[in-house]
This record gives sequence, structure tokens and C-alpha cells, in this order.
Amino acid sequence: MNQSKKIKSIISGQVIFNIVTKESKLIQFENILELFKQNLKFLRKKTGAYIFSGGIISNLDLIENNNGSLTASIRFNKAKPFFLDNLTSATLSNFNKNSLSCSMKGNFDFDRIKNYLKDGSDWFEETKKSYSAKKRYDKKKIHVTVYPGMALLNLMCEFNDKEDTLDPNSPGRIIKNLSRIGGGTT
Amino acid sequence: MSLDYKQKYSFGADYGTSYFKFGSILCGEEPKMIENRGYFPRNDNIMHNAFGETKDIVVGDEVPLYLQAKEDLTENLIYPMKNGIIEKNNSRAWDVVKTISLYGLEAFEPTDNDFEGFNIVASLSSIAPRYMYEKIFQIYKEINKKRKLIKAATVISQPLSVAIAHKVTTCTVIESGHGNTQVCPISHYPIRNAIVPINRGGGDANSITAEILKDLGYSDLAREEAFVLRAKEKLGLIPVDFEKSVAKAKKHPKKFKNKFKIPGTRIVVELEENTWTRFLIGEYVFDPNHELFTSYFKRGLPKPKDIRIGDLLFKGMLDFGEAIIEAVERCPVELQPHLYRNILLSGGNFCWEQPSIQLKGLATSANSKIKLLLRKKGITNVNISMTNEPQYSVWRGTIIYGYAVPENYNWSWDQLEGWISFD
Repeated sequence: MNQSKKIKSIISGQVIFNIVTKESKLIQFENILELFKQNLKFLRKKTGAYIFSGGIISNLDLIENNNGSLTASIRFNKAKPFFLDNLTSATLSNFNKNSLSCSMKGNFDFDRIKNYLKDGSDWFEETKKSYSAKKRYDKKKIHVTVYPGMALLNLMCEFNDKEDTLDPNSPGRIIKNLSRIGGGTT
Repeated sequence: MSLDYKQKYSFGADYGTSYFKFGSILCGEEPKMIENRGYFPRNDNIMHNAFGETKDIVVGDEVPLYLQAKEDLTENLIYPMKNGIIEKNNSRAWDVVKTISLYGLEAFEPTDNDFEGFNIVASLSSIAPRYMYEKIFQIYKEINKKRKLIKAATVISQPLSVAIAHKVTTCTVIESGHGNTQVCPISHYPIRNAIVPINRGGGDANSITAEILKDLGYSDLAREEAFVLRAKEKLGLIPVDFEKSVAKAKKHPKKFKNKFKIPGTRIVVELEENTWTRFLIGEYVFDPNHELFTSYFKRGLPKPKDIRIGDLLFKGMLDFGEAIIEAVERCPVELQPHLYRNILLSGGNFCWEQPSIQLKGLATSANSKIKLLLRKKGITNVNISMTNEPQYSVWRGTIIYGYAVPENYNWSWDQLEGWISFD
């Protein structure tokens, strides 16, 4: 691999959190959108997607649970690490915890990423087409699945309070670090 | 099937006419894409038996490694969804569908202990008959017999999936893929009687691009599909007014100059005084009825034919504006203005580069072109939007649908929605 040329990656994924509310779905939808507009620089709306500086929210769904609470699912695309940080910290300022599933596409050095994940991991499994690890990253527990054949890496992680999203535990920082290990840039 | 489970193990499978786009929810916003085809290699020769791995059907990135003589291709390279429909008894085509489905699921099979199978949302053409739904479920059942890869499955139509991906419940979706185009009005659900299928897609735009390249002296390259596709994407322009744009380009060819170099080669394509042909590519996609195309048909460009599949007539030469009007006018009068007010363009055939500012008034975008075609026919109050990355919007819709549909929503053959459980 040519180390002198940094690998560009595409970051996309989903943030999920629960909402306990008596308000209607529609009002909640508007509230969440407003929350993002306050924390992220909103540029424009395009065909159902909300374009912010540093990333796109391609879908915002509120799913009703059996107990009446709502689960918000926010799908994002073409995200920069700072967008991930702002998105998670915005949701954590109003809602309890969120779980992030974030994918990074790029022709990384997947062997290096594998060695990093294996080293000191709580759990590691490998198949012909993928490998997966659970590992501590500073104070956070991360779950990474990698599909080298598809040039795809997925990070899953839970964030419980706003403190969680500060350096070095912020999602943007974690993803940046994984990318750097693989010889990439974000 | 909790939301936590769905967050990890939802899976989308878009069975397009030429490409199969698949992937788990962990893919983010871009699925994996392979050609929707399968190759049946001849396994009766010594080389295969002694040195090669014998496979009944080859799919995915491996296909080129197995291809044999050109004469075999027509018979042994099968594109099962060529028109969005597979005949019930076409066992080879269904075998390909089974193999690519398994290929996709295995590619994302997780190692985690909590994995009990994917919740798969398959997307089929809006004109797919009921037996295709039955066959897909049957294939999933057969896949599960060997290894449990599927926990629950559902099937939705491609235009509905596009509408879901963009949170629109009343709209007209034009899904234009490589093989064909479907114009489908949606009012919470696809209005099946109003669907207008067109036997023309991105593959036809490739064909005219190949003819143009041949005329320019690139005959050898014009036979290579990958090259033609690149040339189409780099050179094609959608004209505002075909005749005016062509006339202007003939008069001032330099204004429309666009050199295009194939990466990794020394090949540079230059159109010189023929820059006007750039407009042929764009016009042909939206409206192939101009007399200029006749000379190409006479010289061997395959004219998009009207074909009948089952009860449906796929028109070959219908322009996209006329097709939208035909579809919308089959719906209740009160609904029609709403359908015009929200037209969604989706599919790889709408992936066009924005024309440069210097070409303003001569070249335009796909949505503006459709607007112009409708305006010509007296329809003015329209709103047309292009989906983001149109080639992926069906797959994105399958993922959102899979995540959002409650687990206790059982499959209904009347509504064609809900989950079939494989537990």
C-alpha cells in the first residue's frame, strides 16, 4: 500500500436513542430537528434529507415501542468526525443515552486494523470474509466489524452522557483513530 | 425481534434489472453492488476437473474468472431480472437468484453469538407478479435449510422503497435502472393498475454511446461495456431543447469540448467537431423519438422494442413525460395534482453530472428535463426531485423499512406487507 497517499473514507451510519414523551410524533420530530439545527450548521433540505455542514441526515424516523415510548433512528451520510461528535452530543444533551453504528468505507490497510483490534481485545472472531472485535478504547467499549473485501469497517458504541463525547472518547475521535491506524484520513 | 437486534441485523436486498445491491444495516448508506447475473460454467473439461474448483453457478466478482468462449455467453450467462420479471418455470434464472441471495447473506454473516439470522427486506420491481414473491420466500426458506441466515423476511416494491427512503407517502416514483424504467404512482402504497413500465434504461444509453464512439473511430473500445459506461457518464449531456442545443453545438463545437481520459491508460477521447453528439446520449434516455435517431437505428442501434411480459406491455419508445402523464391519469382525478406535485427520480439512469454554467440554457439536469417534457404537454404545476445518490435509494429504503416495521406485523398476502418468520 502506498503510505504516502492517504486514503479518503466515507462515513455514514445511524444514531439511535429512546424518548419518553407525551407529545405527538410530529412534535417530537420537529423538536429533534430543531435541536440539530441549534447544534449543527444547517444548510438546506433536499429530497427528504437535511444537509448540515459536515454531514447529511438522510433519514429521521420515530418508531413507537410497545410501552408507548419512542425510539429515534437518525441515519447520516457523508459525515465528518466533528459532525458525529456534534450529533451525539446534541442528542445526549436532551436524551439519556444513544447507540451509534458508524460505517467507514475506504481502502484501508485492514491487516493493520486487525492487529490493532486483536491486541488486547475482550473478544475477537474471524471468518473468511470478515473479522469482529470487542475492545476497550480508553474508557469506552467498542465493537468493530470489518469486511476487508468490501473495504468496509463498522463501529458500534454506546454513549451514556455528554462527558462520553469529549476527547478522547468522542465518536469522531474513535473513528479518526481507526482510520489513522488503517492509513487513512477522515 | 427487538430494535437492538434490528439495529445490527437488518438486511436489504435490491434485485435490480442489472445490479443486485445488498448489505446489512452496518453498511451505513452504501450497499455492496454486484451484477445481477450468474454464469453456468461448463464443468465437463479436464482443466476444470483436474485443476479448477467446480461450481454450478458463479456470481459476483468471480464471474470474469470463469468466462469461457464468447459463443457460450448467450446461453450460459444469465441475467435473471432482465425485465424485472422472471418466468415462473425459468429454473436457471431462479437458481441465479438463489445463488446471489446466498452470496449476499454470507458476505455479511456475523460471528456474534446473538445472531439468529437477518431480517431481510427484499425489493422487487413494481410489476413483479405474486408468484415472484412466493418464489423469493421459498428461496429464503431453502437457504435457511442449510444454514440459518434468515430470521424473518419481507418483500416490497422498488418504487415504494424509494418513497420510504425519502419519507414521501404520496408521489410518483420514476425508477430507471440499467434494464428498464418503472413509473409508479404511490398513495401510501403503489397503485398497481397505474404503473407504466418502459423497456428502456441505462443500457440503452450505453448502446447509443457505443454507436457514437464507433463513428469517432473507437470501434474496438466501443465493445467494452466498462469503457462505454465511463464515456457515457463523462460525455453525455441532457439538452434543454434538443434541436437548438444540437444546432448550437454544431456551430460552436469548441464551446462543448470535453476531453476524457481513461484512468490507467493512454486513451484520450476527444469529440472535436462532433461535440454535438453529447446531446444525443441525454436526449435518447428521456425521449428517443427524434428523427436524428432513425439513422442510428438503420445502422444497427437496437431500437427499444415494445415487449409484452405477462399482462404488461413495456413500451420501448415512450418518452418519460408521456409515461408520467399516462401513469398519473390512471389514478383518481383528485389525487392527480398531488402525484404531479411530488415526482421522485431514482435509479442509476438518472446519475448525470451537473452541466457547467457555460452551458446554461443548452444543457440541463434530469429533473429539469422531465419538467420540460411535462410542460410541453401542458402539465405545469410539478415538483421534481432527484433522490440523493439515486442508484442506492431502493436499498436505503429497504433498510429503513426493515428497521421500522414492527416485528409483530405478520405477512399478509392481501396487502403484500409484513414479516414472514423463519423461526
